[in-house]
Amino acid sequence: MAQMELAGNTYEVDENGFMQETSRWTEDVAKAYAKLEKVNELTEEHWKALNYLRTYYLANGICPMIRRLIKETGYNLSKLYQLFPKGPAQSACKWAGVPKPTGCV
Amino acid sequence: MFWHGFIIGSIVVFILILAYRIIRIASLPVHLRWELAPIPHERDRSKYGGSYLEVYEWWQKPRKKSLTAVIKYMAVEILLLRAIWKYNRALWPLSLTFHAGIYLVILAILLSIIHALVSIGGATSELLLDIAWIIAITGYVLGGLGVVGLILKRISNEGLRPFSSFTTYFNLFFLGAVFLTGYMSWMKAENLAADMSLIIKQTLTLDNAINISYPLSLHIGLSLVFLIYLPMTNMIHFIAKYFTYHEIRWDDEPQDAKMTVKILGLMKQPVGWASSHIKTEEKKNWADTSSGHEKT
Amino acid sequence: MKKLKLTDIAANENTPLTELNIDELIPLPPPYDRAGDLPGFRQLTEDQRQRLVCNLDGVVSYAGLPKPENEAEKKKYIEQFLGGLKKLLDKENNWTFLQPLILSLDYCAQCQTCNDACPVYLASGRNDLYRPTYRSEIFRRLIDKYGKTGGKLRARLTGKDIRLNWATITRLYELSYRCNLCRRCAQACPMGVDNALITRELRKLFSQELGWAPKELHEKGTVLQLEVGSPTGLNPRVAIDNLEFLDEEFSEATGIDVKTVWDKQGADVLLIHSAGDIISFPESPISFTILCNAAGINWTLSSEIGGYDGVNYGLFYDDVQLARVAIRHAEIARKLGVKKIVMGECGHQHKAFITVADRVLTGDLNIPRESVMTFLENLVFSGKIEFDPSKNDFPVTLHDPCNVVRNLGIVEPQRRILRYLCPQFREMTPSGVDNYCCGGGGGLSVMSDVNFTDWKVNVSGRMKFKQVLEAFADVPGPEVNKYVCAPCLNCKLQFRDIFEHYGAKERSGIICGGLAELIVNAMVDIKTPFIKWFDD
Repeated sequence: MAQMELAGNTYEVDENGFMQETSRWTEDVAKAYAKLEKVNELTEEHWKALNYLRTYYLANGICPMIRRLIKETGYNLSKLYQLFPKGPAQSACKWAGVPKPTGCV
Repeated sequence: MFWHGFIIGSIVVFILILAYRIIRIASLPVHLRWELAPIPHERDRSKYGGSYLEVYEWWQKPRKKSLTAVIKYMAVEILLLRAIWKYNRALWPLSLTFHAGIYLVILAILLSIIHALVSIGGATSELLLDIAWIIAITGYVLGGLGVVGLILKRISNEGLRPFSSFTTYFNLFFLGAVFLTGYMSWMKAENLAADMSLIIKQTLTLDNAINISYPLSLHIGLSLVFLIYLPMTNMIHFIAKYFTYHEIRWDDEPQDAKMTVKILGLMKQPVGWASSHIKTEEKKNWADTSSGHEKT
Repeated sequence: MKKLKLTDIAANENTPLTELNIDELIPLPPPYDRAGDLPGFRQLTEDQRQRLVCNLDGVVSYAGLPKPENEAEKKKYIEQFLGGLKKLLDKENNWTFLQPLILSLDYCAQCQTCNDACPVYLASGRNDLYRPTYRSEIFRRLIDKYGKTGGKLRARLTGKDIRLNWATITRLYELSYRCNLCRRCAQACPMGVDNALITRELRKLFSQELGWAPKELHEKGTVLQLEVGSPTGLNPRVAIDNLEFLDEEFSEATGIDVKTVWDKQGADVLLIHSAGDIISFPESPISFTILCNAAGINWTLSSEIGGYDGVNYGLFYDDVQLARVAIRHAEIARKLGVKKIVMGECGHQHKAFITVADRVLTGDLNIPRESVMTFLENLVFSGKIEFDPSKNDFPVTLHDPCNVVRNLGIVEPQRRILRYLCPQFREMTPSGVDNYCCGGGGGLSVMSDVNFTDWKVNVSGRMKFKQVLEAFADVPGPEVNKYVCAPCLNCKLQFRDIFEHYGAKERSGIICGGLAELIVNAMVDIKTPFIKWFDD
């Protein structure tokens, strides 16, 4: 298993850098991920999306559909790409500390 | 009596080994469906590769199958090597020359046999022998050229060379020797077909006057050894092809009552695979392993 | 490009056999013709090189492959491989594919006719490693050597000796996932030998005996489907919840009442979508809801575990998982008492369920199963829905999913729909049963471990991308919106990855979607365009 250092701690991640131990996630982890993608500050807009993603994942065991994310946050897709450079699945899910979506998605 | 024994014995051994291998293939269990378009027996659809699954609620509709289309397809494949023509044009002239050689030699032998049978009844036909005589030499020449060409191609082609093993070359050389000695015999004899026909007749009638001189003796000897060797090799693809085409590629039969019985039997066999998602404490059979995974 | 010998498979276990170089792949049409402008391959990090087995082509599809510390451990795996090899040849453990396997092993004439039929081999610039015969011939020689009496001696005498060591088995494992199982090579073979089948048997050996399989196909694939309900992780509650959400969204957007039907006992039709469509292409399941309701069909979805996801990854790598998923689907249909099961727009579901598993489903489990293509054709031409084809007046080309077209011979129904509803429909070359795979076939489209996606978009998807661009060569610019109709979720995902990688939407105006969406888009009752070219 690959490991990655984020905000001073070591975490187990998959080969694409997604956290494998969701419960160990902290806001600092999100900030550290963001920095790696050259987003130096997480705004309230970021947190709105990240918190929704995380809460939804913890309740349902899967990331929300992008349509839900759009509806819930009020951001359109290009706005989401502005906030999260590699998009909702590759960046936002990763920063929120949930596993990479798989299985025909 | 040596030649009688050798000739008849070789043919019997050939038939026995071939039959054994055919039975081995045919007796393998029913396999899961694995068809592949285009399927020529689809009467109205085979020209574009369509199947009966294109019909709305196909299970309620009659099937339209065409046997003539299948026969036509196979004839073109066997005689003109359709697949090689379509997918490997550069190899086609050589492969066709080689196979035409084989087919013609077989045809010449068949004609000689026919003449032998006729002559047992007392008649002879110069015309038949002349035709066989011409076919034989054409066969030897084409076969020989094909062998040489294929060997050179395999040596020189970067794609073929790494896959060509000792066996591949051995088989080609062996066939080449058969063609070469055939050619030598033909040159030496006045009419090789007449000589062959006589030998066949003498074999069939167990006539002790049988006398085969060099180089025909070498040719017949080599041919008979090849006949014994052939069914032990993958050169019996002419048999295998029946199964790969008819029993796999074109086998689109939905399960019927007869098949159900076989499948239920197969599903009772134990599963011995060792991975953790399959292996259990007590050995299960296929039926139990593949069902009963309902989450309650 | 380095020439490879068959025996190289066993050499230098830590060095890749070949290196992929973007300049050596076949060129793409402009504006994708300058290799320097393209992103290329992601190289492994030093840490990954240390941790992972990477000895094939610099690409790793499965990070979970063990990396033994010592020779004893390696030997253990080699023994397991040999055990599996023998099981592949016996009537009890491999009755399912024994006859096709034995024939494909024993009768290859080494003519290499299949090579140029392979889109992976062609796209790679004819790299020896990707010849359909390279892995097959090595496996064949191993089987001849270790699975038959006198094999070792014969191997030595005939010069067909392949060493079986750690390098051999790990490379064979990885190489078995460099094939789309599209069976174009099998079509070309004069003998009827099937290299795709040999590849699948090799995958099976690894999965069923050693437990080696891509995590997206097994652990997070069939296992998750049988336990939770879907490889996407959707459980029944969330599946229903998502579709209710979508019903609402699309009712609002289209102005018609969109209502998906669940668990209707005694319905005529059980429709089984790929659950990934709900998440990634929600217009697809919604289109079916709209069409079935508009045509007055008595239909339902199922919310049983596994019943709302028609995928069956077992087809790609494991007979036991294949049978389990197929039987699960059939049991659900039996319980609902439906007259027939209709496949969603999913190629491998078609093949796995309609044909391959036909000889696993016995008795009342063998419920009639129909292709989505004939189902939709019947619906479109039933006269129950009014269409205006001018609403689809944009260039459309059709991708033929291998598992529906080459494997099942379902060619024309989808074309009759497109010829009717899409005035600018054009074929790719070649098409129909001679098509090229999207490059995601054989399960590859859902695999994305380490740097595998790079291989899919650069190598296996290359011929297809080239074909798509050529089909639209008359309108190449981004100012003309163009639609690739791919009636298969796995293909759509592969197209999405390809188009994203090359920026095809921005640079060429190409998007990809299913067949049902085009039908709904042409409905007179749908007032605003259903197909959205832009995300906003």
